[in-house]
Amino acid sequence: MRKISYLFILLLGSLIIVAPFDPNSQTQDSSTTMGMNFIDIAQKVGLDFQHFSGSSEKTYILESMGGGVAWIDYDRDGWLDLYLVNGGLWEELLEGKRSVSNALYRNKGNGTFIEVTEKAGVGNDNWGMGVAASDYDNDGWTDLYVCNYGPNTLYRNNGDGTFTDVTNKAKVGDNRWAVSAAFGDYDSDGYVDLYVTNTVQFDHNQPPPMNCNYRGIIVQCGPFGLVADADILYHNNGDGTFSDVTEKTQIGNVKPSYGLGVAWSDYDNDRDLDLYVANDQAANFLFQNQGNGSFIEVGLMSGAGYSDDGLAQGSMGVDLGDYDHDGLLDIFLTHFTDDHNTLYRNLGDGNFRDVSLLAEIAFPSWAFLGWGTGFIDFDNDGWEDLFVSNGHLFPQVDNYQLGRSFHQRSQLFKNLGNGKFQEFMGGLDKVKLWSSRGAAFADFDNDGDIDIAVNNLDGNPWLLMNEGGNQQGWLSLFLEGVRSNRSGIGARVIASTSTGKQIREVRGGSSYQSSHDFRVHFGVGNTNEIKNLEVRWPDGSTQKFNQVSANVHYRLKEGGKLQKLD
Amino acid sequence: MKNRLQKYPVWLLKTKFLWLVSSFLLVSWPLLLFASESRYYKEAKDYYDQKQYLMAMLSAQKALEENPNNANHIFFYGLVLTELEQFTEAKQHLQKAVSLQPDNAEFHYRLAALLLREKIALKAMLSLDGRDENTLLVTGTEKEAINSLKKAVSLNPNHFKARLHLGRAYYDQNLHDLARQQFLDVSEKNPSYPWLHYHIAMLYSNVGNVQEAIKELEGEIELYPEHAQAQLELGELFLKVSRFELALKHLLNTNEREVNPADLHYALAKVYRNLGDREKAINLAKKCLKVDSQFADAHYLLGQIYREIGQMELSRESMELFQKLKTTKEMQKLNEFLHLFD
Repeated sequence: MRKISYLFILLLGSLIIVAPFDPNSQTQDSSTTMGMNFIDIAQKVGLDFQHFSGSSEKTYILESMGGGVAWIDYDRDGWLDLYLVNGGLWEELLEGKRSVSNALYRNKGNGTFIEVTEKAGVGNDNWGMGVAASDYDNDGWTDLYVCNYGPNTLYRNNGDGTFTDVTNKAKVGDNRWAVSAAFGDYDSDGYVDLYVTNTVQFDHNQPPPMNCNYRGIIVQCGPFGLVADADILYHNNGDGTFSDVTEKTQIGNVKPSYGLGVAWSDYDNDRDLDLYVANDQAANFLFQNQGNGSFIEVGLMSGAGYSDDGLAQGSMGVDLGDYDHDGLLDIFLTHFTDDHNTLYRNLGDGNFRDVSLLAEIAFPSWAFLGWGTGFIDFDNDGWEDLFVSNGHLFPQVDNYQLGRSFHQRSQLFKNLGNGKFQEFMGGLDKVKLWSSRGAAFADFDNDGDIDIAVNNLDGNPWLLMNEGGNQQGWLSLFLEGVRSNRSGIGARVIASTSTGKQIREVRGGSSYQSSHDFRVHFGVGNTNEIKNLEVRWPDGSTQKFNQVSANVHYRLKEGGKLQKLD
Repeated sequence: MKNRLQKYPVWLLKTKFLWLVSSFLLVSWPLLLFASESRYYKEAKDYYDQKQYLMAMLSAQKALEENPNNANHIFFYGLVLTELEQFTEAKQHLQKAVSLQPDNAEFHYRLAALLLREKIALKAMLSLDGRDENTLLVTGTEKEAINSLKKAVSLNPNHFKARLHLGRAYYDQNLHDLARQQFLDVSEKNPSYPWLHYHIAMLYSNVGNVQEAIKELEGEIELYPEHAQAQLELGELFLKVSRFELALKHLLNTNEREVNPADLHYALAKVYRNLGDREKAINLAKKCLKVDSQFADAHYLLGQIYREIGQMELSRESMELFQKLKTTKEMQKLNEFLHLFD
């Protein structure tokens, strides 16, 4: 007994010497891997972007919300270019100036990028937040919508390497604090509409004092307690302008909330786009498209508004994917620390269930604060995995032994194909840590696996190149609408593979503040062929293809033939 | 005798008599006092032990009336008022007891215990959560409690309860090193002290180290299998890490009379739901609501399960109740939060 006592005392004593719990350093069993690895090559390939977001203390909530990222083939050379949104400096904000700039990097196709911001004219004049991409005017060139603290900006792609600010003409320059946006053709008229999430009413000349409390630490205030601003739904009039239809569509029937993330998706399989909005510290919204130009908010009654504990979580980013191959799109959300990211399984009939515990996705996220996210099959095994970019809100946590840190590693969760996920490092433990924010996914090097760009608060971006993800079969498909919107946004592609039917949707924005490669990507495991490929266009038409070869990039123009791309 | 006494002057005899009486009183007054205080005081203590706090209060009041400056009476009265949650008056009495006997470690400890209870009551009243604490009231009380606990342990280094409470108060303030030191001090002298491993577990849990927290709670339960709170916490932690069978085991081992029964029933309902036993989940959620009809999360859980089994009307009723309770709570939180900007 005495020996045990001494051992115990020794052990307990070591608590004082040993470093406090650090979730960033946790590793999982290395005997099982995903067969791929991510390596940050941002600096190496010329992405010399530096994000600025106010003071290092993050005195005000504006300084903590970070920036988005968009993959956009702005010059249609077949190589995805990268757009990164920048914030600002507080002193300049007070003076009405902005010396920092958003940045557009052109993908040269040889593994490197070159900055073309000034030439393109997309630097942005305001403190930037999120970005959404789409060809809003169906001219064949992808445009950009930038959310700002201040007037948002719509950049129309001129098709010659330059953009024009057409915000005023298009009437989409709302002056509130917008965080994320997403394009989606909710009325299937062939033109993508636009949903913009707004967060709090904030006046930088009279900001709320820094006297709020997080676990005993004095930190910035918000969003709770600050007045929320309503989101906006714009209808694309098809003539280069938009109309605010928030009230008309009954989207405005809900109480304004702290909207941070948004995604359009057809969750009820009735061939029109519904809308999911991730709200911070408030119930999330699930707007069901009624098919008649209006929506009903069904978050609470569907089970997708609160966590399993009935909690309104601090939701940041959102994506939808059919993780269990039951033909129904499920929802994944990223959340604040000391809480878990949430996976809602779509049960059909408009119902969802929080299966975070069952899927074993809850506990690994507890110590992290999640932002950008996506359902992506990173290892091409036929099951969509999950990526989450993490980073705390309050730098002050580094001064206390809370087992939380400001800079956090991102996380990768492998879909085990049995309803569960398991965290894998996938090289993410070797990447320099930042407080990460927006994350966007694309096969930037066209090698058949999906890579990730992450915008890091006050830091340099990551370009996480996927190494080894293409060891298994894949298929990529670029859709070009004719009757449907040009970008093919809202189109659904269903592939019959060895792991079952896989669903992908083309999105014009999701994750957190970000926008992705428009191409749909399937991992097909160790096969060379997909039995059936079905494309459901937003206009209601369907095209089917059989025996489609894998390991190929395809292009499909609506109504046309499946075309292999070199 | 008469002749011997006649030798002394009368005045001297009177003086001597007075001196004798005085001496007697000087020596015997504590005994007299004890004899008189022990009746009501003893009565009060008996009632207190039987948890009949109102009766204890009446007896303690009488004891106090008889001896208003008796530190023990004042202290005890404070204890009774604490149990009756009359914190303001209790605090006054305990503080007075401390001022009368500043070297009494137990007095300092009990004062601290009261302050910590007051803090918990304040937090519950203000519906605080991790991001929206009202520091002014709560942490002020907490600091006062810490000072009293520090005094208690400095007066009596072997006051293990005080040390554990002090450790707990430290980790509530994120002073984890100081918390660890207190627990180490206890473990050096008595590594099997009740609640020691529990508190260490809470420290680990506070910094997000759930696996270590689980180990400590398992240690506490090994030593004290009847420790209901440890069983409940362990069950909830296993639920958090998706180990449902283990969660069930510990929750079923929890004596519901010694924990908040609503919390227990709710946790069990969640476990059964995740194990696929909806019937049991529903029954337990209802049991939770029978104990506490305002338990919003249980209404939500019930609503979810009813929806899954197609009982849409019941689901709607539960969800509406949930929403009503949630809205009220959120409005309360918002009003209290906005007070920060006054």
